[in-house]
Amino acid sequence: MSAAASRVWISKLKAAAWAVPVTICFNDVIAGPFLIAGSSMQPTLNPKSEDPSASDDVVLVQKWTVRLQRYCRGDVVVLRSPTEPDIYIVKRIIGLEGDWLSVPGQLEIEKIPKGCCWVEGDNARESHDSLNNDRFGSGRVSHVLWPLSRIGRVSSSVPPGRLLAKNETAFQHSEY
Amino acid sequence: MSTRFSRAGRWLFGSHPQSLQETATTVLKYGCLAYVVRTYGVGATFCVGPSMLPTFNSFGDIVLFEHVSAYTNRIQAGDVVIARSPQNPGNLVCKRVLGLEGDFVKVAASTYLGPARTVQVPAGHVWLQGDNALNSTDSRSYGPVPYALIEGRAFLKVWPATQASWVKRQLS
Repeated sequence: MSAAASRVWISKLKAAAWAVPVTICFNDVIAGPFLIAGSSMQPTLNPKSEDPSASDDVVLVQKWTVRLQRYCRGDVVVLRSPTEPDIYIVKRIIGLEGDWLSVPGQLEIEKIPKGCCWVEGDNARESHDSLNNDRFGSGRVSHVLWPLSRIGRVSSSVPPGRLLAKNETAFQHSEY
Repeated sequence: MSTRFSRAGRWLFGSHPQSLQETATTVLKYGCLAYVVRTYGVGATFCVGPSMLPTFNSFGDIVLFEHVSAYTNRIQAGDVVIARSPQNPGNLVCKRVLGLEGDFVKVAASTYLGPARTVQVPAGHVWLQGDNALNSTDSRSYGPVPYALIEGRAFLKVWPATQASWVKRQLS
């Protein structure tokens, strides 16, 4: 290879190498894709009702809303599991700090402590998903990207009857 | 392309001519690189607060952190770590890890934290405590902290220069 050709090659390699930190930064700060595993968010994600062998959903996870601390009740979020730090879990936010929630299946009301939020999977049968988590969400699931038949927004809604009292000041004054 | 911008580009980058677009692209690229190094590699932080005396001063210390130990699960008991505050996710706290999951931690009696007790750290959590036990809000107040909140491990104090030293792993 001549000297000129190898210079062209090296400059192309350098341009390609720059794609690595830029992509990582974009995925961490703006948005990125994410593969959903498991059935705890059925039927919203990974429904597999007609075809049990269908591939797992790929969703678009927004990162900037979480970085700006804009958590809304009803959002589906990705967070790192507090009991197994290597695993990411996908759940819906039912309540924020200071809210009073009814606990399903029990005659109990819980107040969510400061710094925590209550997340649950949409699949009511998966009872172990109801967790009381610290707020270290890494992203908000905004759209389903794959399979193509189900492309679209992921709706943000709290199941009725669970939220007994809202804390209006949760995240209102972000002095952070 | 305005000549004013070209002049600014030459002033910033020497004689190599740069349009505004090239300057912006360069800033973006190096910004992303700085982000990746700072988030996944090594970063420097000001440590503020009295909770880690005498290891760190109340103000003015610059400490180097590395993040590799955090995401490769190599944090050990005795390490000084920075973590997201469990009470306020916009803040970072700097404390020492006294216990990993499954460890038993002895909490001394104190007037406002209650009687002496032994706590077993649950799975996936760590026990954080400041070196200055008399003036530190840590796991004794807010309980064991999920490991996933740990962002990095302090390894080198670089400022003030007269006190520069490796941050040692130690359990008092």
